[in-house]
Amino acid sequence: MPAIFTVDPHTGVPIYLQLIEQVKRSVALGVLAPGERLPTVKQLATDLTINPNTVARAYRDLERDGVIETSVGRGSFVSQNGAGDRAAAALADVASSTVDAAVREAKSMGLKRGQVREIFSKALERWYSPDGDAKEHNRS
Amino acid sequence: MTIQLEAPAIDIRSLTKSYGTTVAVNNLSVAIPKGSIFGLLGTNGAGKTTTFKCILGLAQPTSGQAMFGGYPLRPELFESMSYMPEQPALYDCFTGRDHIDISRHSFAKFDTARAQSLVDLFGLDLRKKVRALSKGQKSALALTLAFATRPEILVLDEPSSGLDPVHQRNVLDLMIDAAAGGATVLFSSHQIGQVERAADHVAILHRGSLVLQGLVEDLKAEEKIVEATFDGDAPRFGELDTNPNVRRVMRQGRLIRAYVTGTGDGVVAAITAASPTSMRILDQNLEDIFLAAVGGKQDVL
Amino acid sequence: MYYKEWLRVRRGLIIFVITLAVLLTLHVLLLPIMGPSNNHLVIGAGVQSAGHAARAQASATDLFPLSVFFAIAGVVAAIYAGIYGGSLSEENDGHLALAWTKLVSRTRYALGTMSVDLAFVACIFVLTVLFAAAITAQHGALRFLTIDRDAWFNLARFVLLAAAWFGVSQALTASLKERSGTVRGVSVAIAAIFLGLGAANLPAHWGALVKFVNYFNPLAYATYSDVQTQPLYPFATWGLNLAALAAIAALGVTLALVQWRRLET
Repeated sequence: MPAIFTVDPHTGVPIYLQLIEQVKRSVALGVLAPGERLPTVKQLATDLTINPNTVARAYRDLERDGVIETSVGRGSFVSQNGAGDRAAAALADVASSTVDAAVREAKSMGLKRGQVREIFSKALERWYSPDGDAKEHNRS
Repeated sequence: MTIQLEAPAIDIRSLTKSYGTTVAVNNLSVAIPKGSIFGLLGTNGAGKTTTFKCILGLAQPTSGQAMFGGYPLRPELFESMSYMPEQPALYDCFTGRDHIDISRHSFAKFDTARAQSLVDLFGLDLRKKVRALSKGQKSALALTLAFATRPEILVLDEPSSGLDPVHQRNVLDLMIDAAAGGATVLFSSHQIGQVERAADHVAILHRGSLVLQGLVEDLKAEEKIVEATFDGDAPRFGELDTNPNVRRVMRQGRLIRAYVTGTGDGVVAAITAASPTSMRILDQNLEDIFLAAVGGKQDVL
Repeated sequence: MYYKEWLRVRRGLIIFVITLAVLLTLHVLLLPIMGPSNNHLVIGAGVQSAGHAARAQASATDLFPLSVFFAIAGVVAAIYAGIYGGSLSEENDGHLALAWTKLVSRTRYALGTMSVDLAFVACIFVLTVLFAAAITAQHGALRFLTIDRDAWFNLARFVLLAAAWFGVSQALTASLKERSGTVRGVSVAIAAIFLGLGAANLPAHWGALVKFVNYFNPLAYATYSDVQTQPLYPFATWGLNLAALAAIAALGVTLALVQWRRLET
């Protein structure tokens, strides 16, 4: 299975968190289908040149969150039951803290509420089509 | 359910080594768990090589000792433990082929096929005498000898020195492959990027003393930078100097940066109280963490 | 555990055998030029120190003793003993990591190495004797060879000379990280000097000191002369002399071992 995940070991974000987010994203978007097999810990560690224990930790947390299931000897698979929903919910949490942090930072820069709202609207305009789905990426 | 704690692969206990009046290693206590890749970081002269020599019996510690899986060092341990020193300990008058021969006769677990595949990987000419090899090729040969016995414990001192980037990546792959197979790898490196990739545990030595250790991932999660700018010059915060969660404070003009462990709530509160014009919380990568750990507490840029 | 030294020794052995073969071949080729073989036959072993030369002359009617071969072989073997007597110190310059991270204790490693060296020195001795015999045979002079009264004593003595020199070399250099070769080279000169001083009949305390040192000086046991004068050996009986040489060898090896085990990188 080709490596569909990438991680950056050199940022301050722990690698296992990056992996978890990427798996959840893939599941939420349907790139990884329910029941689909994930690479083994050893395979992924070798492909990405990262520590196997880090991969194992990511898989453990994903299993705890119900996104994947692991059976000894057979490997890890995307959960059949509602993994997508759980993943989507988790991603929503991540997105929510990102937006929250952005708003806090805007406030600390001195922007007023109205300004922030305007920026927010513009961004929505830019990235979402009117009926709420993701927009085609603008070439600008 | 009882939790059985496995003895660490290597347990360094209160290791001290002095050469005359110089203390090279000062009361170092570190446990290297089985199956981990443990990175030892430090500047030159921090005591990394001395530590390795002491635990392997190549130097006599002034005090303290190292236990291997619960047992002290004895020759039989080298059946499943390999060491690669910083300066490859190869014999100039022998060829690469000779060295493989010697290892094959010295170790029952020597895997000739694996040695050959490593030789191919590094592109070594085994017919050349060691004195005719470049530094990188010597390192490659030493690595071949170390990995060919499929050891359970690997102690590697600067394994990538002298190697070009392609081979450096090969070394990381070898370490990761070994760990994935259950081996324990203890290595020292100058290159923080390597430690960040391959190591799950890290210990930072500075001037012979341990200044920081832990899981790389946890350190990244816990260590943050609180950065704030002010209208005038950044004020001094007495409470930051005494706060044990603050590793280091850097001030330059209107900017202040506090390197904190944990949530840093107290720090955020203290800084907020001084009405900064802006404030944000940044992640730290391993290089940031390392520099903060070996730098002083108060730095003015 | 001794395989490394075996590789080294094997190479030395091959070079030695090839050298001897070449010399023998040259000798055969040059034989016609050398003239009639039953004139003076001079066999020389060149070790330049006072009183220590092994030369035998034989004319057509003279017999020459087997001891001569042993003396020559002893000198050659002792030279090799001096060269390979640095085998432990060779490990000290950055190679201890290879030597000490093996499955055997340092003691076994050092003993194994030195055993290989001693076996090698013994081979050198035997090969040299055979070579000397071959040279003699090519001159057609083997019939003049005789097993003299002291032949077996000399055989033992010169073999033990090489072993003792090996022991002394190892003891002097086992804990050195550099200059091992220099030390061994200088030790030859010093041994020769003390041998000469021993013959010089120095006054009182100096004489006693020199005599004491010469108990431990392998060269002092190695003088050879077919002239029936009082030999200059440290002990009166040949049994004691042989025992002393053996003791020097054993003591040297032991001292070397003790030093080497306790080294630090």
